[in-house]
Amino acid sequence: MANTATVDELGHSPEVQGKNYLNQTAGVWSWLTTVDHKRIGIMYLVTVLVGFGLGGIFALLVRLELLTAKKTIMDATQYNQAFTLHGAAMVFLFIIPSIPASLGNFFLPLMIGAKDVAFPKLNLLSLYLFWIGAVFMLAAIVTGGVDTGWTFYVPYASGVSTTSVISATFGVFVMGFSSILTGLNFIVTLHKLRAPGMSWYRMPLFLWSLYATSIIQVLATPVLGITLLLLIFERAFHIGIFDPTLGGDPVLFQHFFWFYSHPAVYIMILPGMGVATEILTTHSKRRVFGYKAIAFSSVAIALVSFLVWGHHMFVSGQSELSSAIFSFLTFFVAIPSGVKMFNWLGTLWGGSIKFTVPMLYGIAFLFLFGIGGLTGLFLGTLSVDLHLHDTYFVVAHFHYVMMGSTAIAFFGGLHHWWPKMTGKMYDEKLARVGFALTFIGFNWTFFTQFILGTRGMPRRYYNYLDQFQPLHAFSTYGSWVLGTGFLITFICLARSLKSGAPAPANPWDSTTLEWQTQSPPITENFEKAPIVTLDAYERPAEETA
Amino acid sequence: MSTSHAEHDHEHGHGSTNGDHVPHVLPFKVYIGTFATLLFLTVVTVAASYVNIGHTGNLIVALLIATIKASVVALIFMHLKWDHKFHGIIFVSALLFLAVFIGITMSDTEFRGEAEAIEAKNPVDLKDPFKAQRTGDIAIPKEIAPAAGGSAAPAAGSAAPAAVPAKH
Repeated sequence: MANTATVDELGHSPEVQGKNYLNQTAGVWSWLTTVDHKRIGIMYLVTVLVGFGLGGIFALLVRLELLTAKKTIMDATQYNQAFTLHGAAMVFLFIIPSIPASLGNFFLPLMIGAKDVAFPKLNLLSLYLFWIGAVFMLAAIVTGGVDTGWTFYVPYASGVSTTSVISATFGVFVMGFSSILTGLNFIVTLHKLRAPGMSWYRMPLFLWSLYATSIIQVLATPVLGITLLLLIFERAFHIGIFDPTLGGDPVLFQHFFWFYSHPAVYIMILPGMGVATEILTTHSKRRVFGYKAIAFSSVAIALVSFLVWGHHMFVSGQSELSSAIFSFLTFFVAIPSGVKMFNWLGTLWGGSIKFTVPMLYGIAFLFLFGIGGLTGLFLGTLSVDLHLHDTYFVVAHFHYVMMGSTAIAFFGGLHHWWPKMTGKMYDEKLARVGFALTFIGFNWTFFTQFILGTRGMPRRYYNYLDQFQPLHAFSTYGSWVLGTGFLITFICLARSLKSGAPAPANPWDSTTLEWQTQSPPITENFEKAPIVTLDAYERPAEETA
Repeated sequence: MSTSHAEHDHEHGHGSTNGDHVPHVLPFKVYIGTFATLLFLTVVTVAASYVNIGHTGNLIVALLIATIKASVVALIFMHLKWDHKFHGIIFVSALLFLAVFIGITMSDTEFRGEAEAIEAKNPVDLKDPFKAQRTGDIAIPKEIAPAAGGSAAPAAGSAAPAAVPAKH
């Protein structure tokens, strides 16, 4: 036991002062063989940021091509590959693993007062599987690309496309296992490793969102695995499953695909909602309004997400009965989403809001998710979707949800937890510039696409009618602003790593457990297992008195 | 699981007083009995296939036997009968989950193309494309509605008379 005269303000004994998970061991090998959830989280973070960069480059190329109504910089085949790789990289290499695998891995054990996840070696295995899957995807890019769209629809993907479909789909198949293992690990960790006193209702709401996400990952991802394996069998061995010329049913592929991929939308957005909750409560110094409502709305979203996949197939030949059922069920998603939205606003109401960089991202999330969510109701309405299906309205809608909400929440979370992860503060002014350009550039790019869509511009078209050119050009200019915003953000964070001021243990005066240890944390997270006596967002009596 | 982790688990082992693992050893003859039951039910399945009670009937019998076999495996071989109730809930949830997937998908595969058949019976008159629909569930605007029915009814929300046949 440490001498109380020599412990620091967080009660750390001299033995652990100055030590942390980054400097405890050194060398590449120590990272590659680590079972420390924090290091694994950091390696995931680097990987997903590379995926984001890759997807971002393809996005800028696609937008540049669409600057003019005819050929601008690439031919039609290259364009098909560019938008496919943009989608595939962003979905599978970035958004799906972004928050759970990087921020979740790093903070879940810290937030429940545990030393690690339940299965640390399985955690490392999931990272390796992710890397192996990513290698197959990269192999697909260099050995002929993929031009099917990220949805790999049949019969084009199974019998027509001459690109590297098998390599890409097998990569996604392997990455699916990584996702399942991470989800499983999180579920067991939350059930078994909570610190003494950390009841379910004392957990930070980020963890409830990760729990709901994990349920989806474990239940839905195997269906994607089966689907892609069947697609590979059909493509490689001409076994008739989905291809009508082989006796298959192409709409059945869409049922299989969307049975995973619609819940996958919630794998993407639920962790973002959790991050937003942490940011909004911390930076407004207000206890979360409606804790249980937010917690259970996460679980409700996870459950309802399994019942609405057919709203992607209103015009693909599915029965009218199915379409009507799916349209009806789709509206149920709006209820828990609305519950969250109003509880977030309730949390901000009367709070002492500080417009820190994470808070700016948090408020942007509310704004962008509001637009993304509400336009989803347009598309869920059967009769309206018949007109808007496969137009830029859809493109704008899901970018508002995936990028405007999830990616914005991810970058908000990154700024929120950056001091804890790296032990460094960042240049607030530069980070604000990065945020402002990102927010403006995003709306510039994608709000324009709502207008394009309602005017009838179909998605994925290489050439388009001249009447759409001004709006397309306007959207492309916005993408340059957006790209600049992200570039500045990365420069800001890189500068922080190099020369940022040392971060205190709790720079935002947060109440949750991860801030009660040093920045960056020691390998064991806490020197002594914490005993929790307060709710996640409750301040000690002497502070509130 | 590493040693360090085992210690960790020990430290935070609260809230799980019973632990996950419920050791339960069954007599060997129970396993043999279960195996024999499964074999017997397999024979019954084959035998039932030779009795013609209609397509649906045979299907129901086969599924019933398969369900009994799966239940025996889950309950006895997998020890679910003596396990935590929570694990049973998870097991049943998995089946429900599968039922949702297959059930809702069948709302497509079983009813696909029905609207086309209805439209084929009532082809749309291109010169007056909404004419046929007025005979269905679409409200008839007041100025088109029959004078007798329209006089007393309020202007908005008057329902279409379903009995008016389409004239083609």
